[in-house]
Amino acid sequence: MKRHPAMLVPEFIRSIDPYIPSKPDHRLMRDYGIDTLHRLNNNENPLGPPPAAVAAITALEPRAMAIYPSGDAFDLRCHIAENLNLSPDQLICGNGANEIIQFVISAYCEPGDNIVTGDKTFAVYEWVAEFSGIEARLTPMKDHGFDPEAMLAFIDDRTKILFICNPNNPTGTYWSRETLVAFLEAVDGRAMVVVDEAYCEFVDQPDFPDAVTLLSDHPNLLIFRTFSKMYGLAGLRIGYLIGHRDTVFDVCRTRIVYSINSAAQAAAMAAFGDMAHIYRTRQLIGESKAYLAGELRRLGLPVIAGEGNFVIAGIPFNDQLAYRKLIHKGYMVRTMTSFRFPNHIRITLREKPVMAGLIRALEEILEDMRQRGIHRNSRQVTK
Amino acid sequence: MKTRQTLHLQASTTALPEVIAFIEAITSEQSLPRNISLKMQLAAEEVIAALTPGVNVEIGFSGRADRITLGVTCHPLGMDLSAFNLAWRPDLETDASGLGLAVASRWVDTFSLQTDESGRLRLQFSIDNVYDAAVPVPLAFPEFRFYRLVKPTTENIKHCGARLFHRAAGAGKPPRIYHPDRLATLLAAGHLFGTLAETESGEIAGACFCIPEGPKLLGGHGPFVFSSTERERMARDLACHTLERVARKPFSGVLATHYDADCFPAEYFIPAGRESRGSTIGHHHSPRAPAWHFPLSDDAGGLLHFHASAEDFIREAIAVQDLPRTLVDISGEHVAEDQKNPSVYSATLNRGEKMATLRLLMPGGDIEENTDAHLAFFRDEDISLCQVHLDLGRPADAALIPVLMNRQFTPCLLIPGGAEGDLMVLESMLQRSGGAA
Repeated sequence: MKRHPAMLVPEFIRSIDPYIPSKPDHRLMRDYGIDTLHRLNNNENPLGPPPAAVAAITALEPRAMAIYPSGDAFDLRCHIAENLNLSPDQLICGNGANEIIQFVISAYCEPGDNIVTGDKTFAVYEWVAEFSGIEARLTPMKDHGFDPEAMLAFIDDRTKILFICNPNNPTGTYWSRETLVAFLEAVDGRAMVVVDEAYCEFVDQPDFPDAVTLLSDHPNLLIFRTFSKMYGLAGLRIGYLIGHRDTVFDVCRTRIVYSINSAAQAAAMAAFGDMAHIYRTRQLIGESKAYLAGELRRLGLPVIAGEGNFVIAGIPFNDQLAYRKLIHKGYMVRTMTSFRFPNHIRITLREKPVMAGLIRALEEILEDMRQRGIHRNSRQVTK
Repeated sequence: MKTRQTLHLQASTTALPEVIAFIEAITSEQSLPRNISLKMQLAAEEVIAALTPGVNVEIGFSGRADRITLGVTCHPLGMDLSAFNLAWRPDLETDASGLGLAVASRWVDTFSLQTDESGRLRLQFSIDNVYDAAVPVPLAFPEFRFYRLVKPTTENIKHCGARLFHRAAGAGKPPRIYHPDRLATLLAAGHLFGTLAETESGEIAGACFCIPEGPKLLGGHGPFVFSSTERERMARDLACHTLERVARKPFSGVLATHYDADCFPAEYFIPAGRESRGSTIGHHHSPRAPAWHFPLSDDAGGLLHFHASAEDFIREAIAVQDLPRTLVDISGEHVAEDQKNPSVYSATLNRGEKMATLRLLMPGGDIEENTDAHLAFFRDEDISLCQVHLDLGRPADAALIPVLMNRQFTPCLLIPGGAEGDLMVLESMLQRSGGAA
């Protein structure tokens, strides 16, 4: 009997609403009638990739694109491992961290299992779990950070993975080494602990943990990192996982090979460990953050400015409205209802002139709304 | 129940056996009570009998968790539409042709009448499923240290429903909408979206959910927090989760009218107008709670027709909600398409909640008399609250504003609809002894 294709979709998938990414810049600029669009929505590095990565991309030979890339990013893994004093067998590369999240959930979870994570964090942990028919247990944040006690309280026999984003996207909070170690000891090997360090290179705090140093004591620890943020290679989609050798072997069972293209492998290899680039970026982000947070507070807006190259601002009206008004002025921000922060926007930190332009645009919008009596929030929104 | 089946035919008395067999088959397949089948048969028969023979008719069933609906779509050739006015009273000597239609539309729980772009009528006769199983009183809420945010399941929504049911009953409100079986059925049918807070011992400590109210709008229920501790934090978490969960759904917005007033996170919402007479069932009972709107889709703008008698309310509402609108003042204009035609209201009567809702189906020269007749009918039926929903994308609806304002209706909500027309809700408390309150 013929069946309509929709009848072949599992019931739990049918209840999921597809995520629709934003349109390309040229379409947005046409639709909104603007000549300039500053992307402040995806936490991209305004400095772009490090110079060596730019050179590596420029040197790519078009004819070489006919050849498959290394199926497991062999050279890149060796390069990273050598720099981190690890074995290449302790690394898996993936087409962005999103793909690695899929590898890990596929490797450890089966129907009936669950993962535990925070409720206001990178949504892909929860999404991939749900796509896979795995329950995502979401614990509320405490002071905008992961609450270790709450996470521990919801571990049961079917908990396979605990996801911690450190520092957290979008709140910028982080667990210190002491908190992370205490958490790992409390978990005591009952489940895998994934520490997503997508933004770790932005953190310059003495108590921020280098999770790699904890691997030897905690074989249930997995660490995610990415080239999309600090290394400015978001367009090439490449990230990696670090873990204990045996653990990584298990994750390899479900990885997709040949998923990272040659350009990404070459650029990542050239970019990795460029400390000058990291310092330049940190310098820019630090100055930008201090300026933007100060200006947002001057405008009377609540601010969440933690670690990472982004800042959240509470606004006294709907975030979609803020998006529309700002994009008309040439600034694209991230609406935060999708991160469970209604009436908030997340702003990627960029060069000071861009931030100053954004502040002018916001100030005009707020003043216009204030004059029309719309500036109505009386309560602090970012509790 | 998720069934939908359709029958196409041409109006004729000879087609009636096929129609009756169709309805019998559907209602039998769905194990619906005999009286539902008979009501549906009556409705279909009367519509077909009222039409000019040969008119194409489409008959369909659609089931929602809490009601089954018979839809009849046809061109209204030969049909006396004024019979659908609840206030219509035939002169049996000369004007008995609409009696069957009148009876059919009154016998069901909900009747609605709409026109599509091609001028066809869509008549909907709905009968509510009755949830009358006893609901055990929940135990006092136990102490807890932690909670997490979970999706509703048919099991946990029943626990939540039991608490809401008894809170509503305790507050003197009709508890039916929160009957555990109703909520579970709505959830199973994909008509309830939201978030519950579950403690470490598995108790449901709070809830926030949305149920579609019409094709565009979600009705917001909650946040409700069942514990005496962590109320504000939990309410905020529940609201944030629920708004995220419905943010990508094809609705224009969420209208929150039932919630715990002491911990409602108003900072996330936009005032949708004056207070609604619909009351909360919350922890601290508030008989006239504000209604709040959260837009789910970007508003690209559109026309809004208004009459000077409600200009202040409308201008304030569009300013507060920052709606990009082109305002069209229809004061003093004759916008009824044909003043000779009788006006027709689509009416929904909810006797359980003593509430009636009117929508203007067709403007006409008798609109004032027709409005008065409806209000008198509602008073006779012991209806205490009458709401009128106006689509301000349509000049004829806006022209009704002064008629209603002169009858002590007051604007309470303006729900944005963008280019498809904003919905303005006016309401009046009715008193049985005459005159709007």
